[in-house]
Amino acid sequence: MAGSTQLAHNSRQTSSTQHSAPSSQTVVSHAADPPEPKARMPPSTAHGTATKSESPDVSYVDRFASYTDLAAKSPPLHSHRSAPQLLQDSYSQTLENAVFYSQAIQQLRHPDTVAPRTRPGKEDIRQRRARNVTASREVFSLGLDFANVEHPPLPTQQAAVGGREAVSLGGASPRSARPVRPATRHAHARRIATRLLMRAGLSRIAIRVARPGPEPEPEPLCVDDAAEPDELQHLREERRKQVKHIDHYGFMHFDGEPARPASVPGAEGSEAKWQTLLGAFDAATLRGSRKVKRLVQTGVPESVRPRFYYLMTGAAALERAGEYQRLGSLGAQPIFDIIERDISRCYPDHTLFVDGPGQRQLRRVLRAYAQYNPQIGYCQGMGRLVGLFLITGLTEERAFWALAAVVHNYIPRYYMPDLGGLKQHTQVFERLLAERNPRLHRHLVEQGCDALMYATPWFMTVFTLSLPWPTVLRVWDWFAYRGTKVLFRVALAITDIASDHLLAECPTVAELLGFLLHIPPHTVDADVLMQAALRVKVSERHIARLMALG
Amino acid sequence: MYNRNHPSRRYTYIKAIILGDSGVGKTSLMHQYVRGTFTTQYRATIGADFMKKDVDLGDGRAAEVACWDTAGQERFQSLGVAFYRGADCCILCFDVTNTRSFENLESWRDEFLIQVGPRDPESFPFVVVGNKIDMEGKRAVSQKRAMEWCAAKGNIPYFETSAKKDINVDEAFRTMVRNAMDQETETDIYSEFPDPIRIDAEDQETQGCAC
Repeated sequence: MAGSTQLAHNSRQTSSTQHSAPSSQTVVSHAADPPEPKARMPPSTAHGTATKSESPDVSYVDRFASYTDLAAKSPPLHSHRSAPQLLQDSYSQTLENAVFYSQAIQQLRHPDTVAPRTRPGKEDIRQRRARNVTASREVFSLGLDFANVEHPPLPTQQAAVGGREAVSLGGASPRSARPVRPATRHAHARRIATRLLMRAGLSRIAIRVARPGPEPEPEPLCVDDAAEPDELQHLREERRKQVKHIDHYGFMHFDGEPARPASVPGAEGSEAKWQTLLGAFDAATLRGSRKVKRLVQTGVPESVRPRFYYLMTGAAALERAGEYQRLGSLGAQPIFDIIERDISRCYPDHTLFVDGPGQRQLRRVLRAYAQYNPQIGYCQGMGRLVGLFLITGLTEERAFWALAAVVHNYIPRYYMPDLGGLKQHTQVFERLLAERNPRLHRHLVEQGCDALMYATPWFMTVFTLSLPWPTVLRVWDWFAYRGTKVLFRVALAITDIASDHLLAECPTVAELLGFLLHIPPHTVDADVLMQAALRVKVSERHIARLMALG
Repeated sequence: MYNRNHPSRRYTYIKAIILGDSGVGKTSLMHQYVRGTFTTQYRATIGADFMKKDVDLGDGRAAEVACWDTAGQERFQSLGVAFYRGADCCILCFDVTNTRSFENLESWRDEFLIQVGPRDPESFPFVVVGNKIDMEGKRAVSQKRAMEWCAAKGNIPYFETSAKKDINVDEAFRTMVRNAMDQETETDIYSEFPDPIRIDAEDQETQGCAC
């Protein structure tokens, strides 16, 4: 969702996208905002009404009315401001915002003051949840703004309005308003934001409208989508009509039940905790913490995921400003043709790639990577990784760096022309399987069922092709955090789960592969698989030893 | 190829490999053949995919055909050994609107033969399939050119198909299965008895080849 998404982006720009004119009752359009290239359709609203950008989020309007009431009493907020402008905002301006937010939050803590006109249905609840996520991020970024601006002496009437609130929020008191040292500013911001979030209880605020901004024009480099034969286009339209459900993650389902969101115990309450953690520590420190490890294994909240992946995969450390843009401006390569063949076949069942800007973003990221690492160029399977990043809400540029980081740090040489890394890892996996489950291993070998036959799609796409999406996300939370080892633990967990079935019901290679290549989704439910994987103990040293065997 | 513990020895297991450049429609062909469906939602195949179908050839012979749909990108060829092992027949697939995919058939075929190492490469049951003939307007490889190539490679049967419109798909697979089973009956002569360990095993083999 516009929300479920770009944290990074939000923390830089969000404040510019708050309510535009507080007096109006129906301010839901953000047309006046600077065009936002990364805005996208929220998957949860992509069914039914919201397929066109102009239809406003109706359930939001109710809520918004109460804000506008409140806003009318508050000093005007920053509207139509760009991010740089905002960063130069005065202390008093930021303070006003803090006051506004705290009032809004206070009011919302008492649900009776917010009278929704209609009782929300299930869908509404889902949408609202997504918006809450957005809101929590905005509050956090507000905290950042708050601490980031230089603090000039506070005008007296402003102090009168916001003084007490600022103090109670942990901000500088108006009397002691003095410049905050840069070093302390960040910690300061986190404190403020955390308190704001705590106050809000995180479940009662909905501050921003999903804003489907104008889509950017495709770059000249891109092959026009119109190149697709009309007939195929028509067929696709027909297919689209058959969509029965669009699930929480934006996947289209033509039959059966959509995937349910994986349970993340206490996720809502832990968002603030996560934001604080990610703001305060670097990847190495987080990786060393047992507490964080436990948090990761229970699942990272959706709103935190983009930032978490960006940080933990090592993308943040790898990123060089402007480099992605530079790579995008380089000339065409022969491999672009091969990339092109896979663009429409990457996530043909996801709304972002069918209706949204996903295909264009994917194309640009893969092309940039081919330029970035000519040794690899492009290999099938990479697209699934990029798609995962885009779907979970990383910006295009960050998706690129995340791809580069994962390929470099976790699955080296997987995508090289000889697929050397893949071969090595499947070999190690077979050895681990032989140690862990000799009976199953013998059965597979006897039937000529080589690990390369079934584990290739697992490893090459880091399970994104083989597991149901909620499970994929949980596996990826852990994979982003811990790296290569997780591949083996999850693969062994799958064979653990399937072992009895494979031994009893699958006498030949046909049945074995029939199962392993199309794992029935219900057998690898997120919690079940994670628990199985946690029971698999494989040390990094042991893996290294097995790799050394060659 | 082996008989699946079936009393009549008529029910045969056949392993078929589908090869060709990426995007020529291998997955579509397989799905059309096995399930009789076509969608635009196919994802790029990573590694290989696998489906099976029971086929009755109508002449008293039946087979279980295991179709192996492979990844089209060139670098996946290096995984071939694992996938091609024990293959009984092979579909070489190209896209009639894409000349390059036709030109690459040669290397797909050669690579396959090297990795499988059949007794008699010249008579290995290949079938060549020119897919996407529903896009006639964009055709880049003429029927004549394709047939000439097939003739030069030992009279490989050639089919022009459309997985989307279900044209000729079944015929192509059926021919391939029939040819594979014909081969089997030839080789059956030698595999009638389980191979005992013989000191003169070499002689045995020369005998075999002489026939």
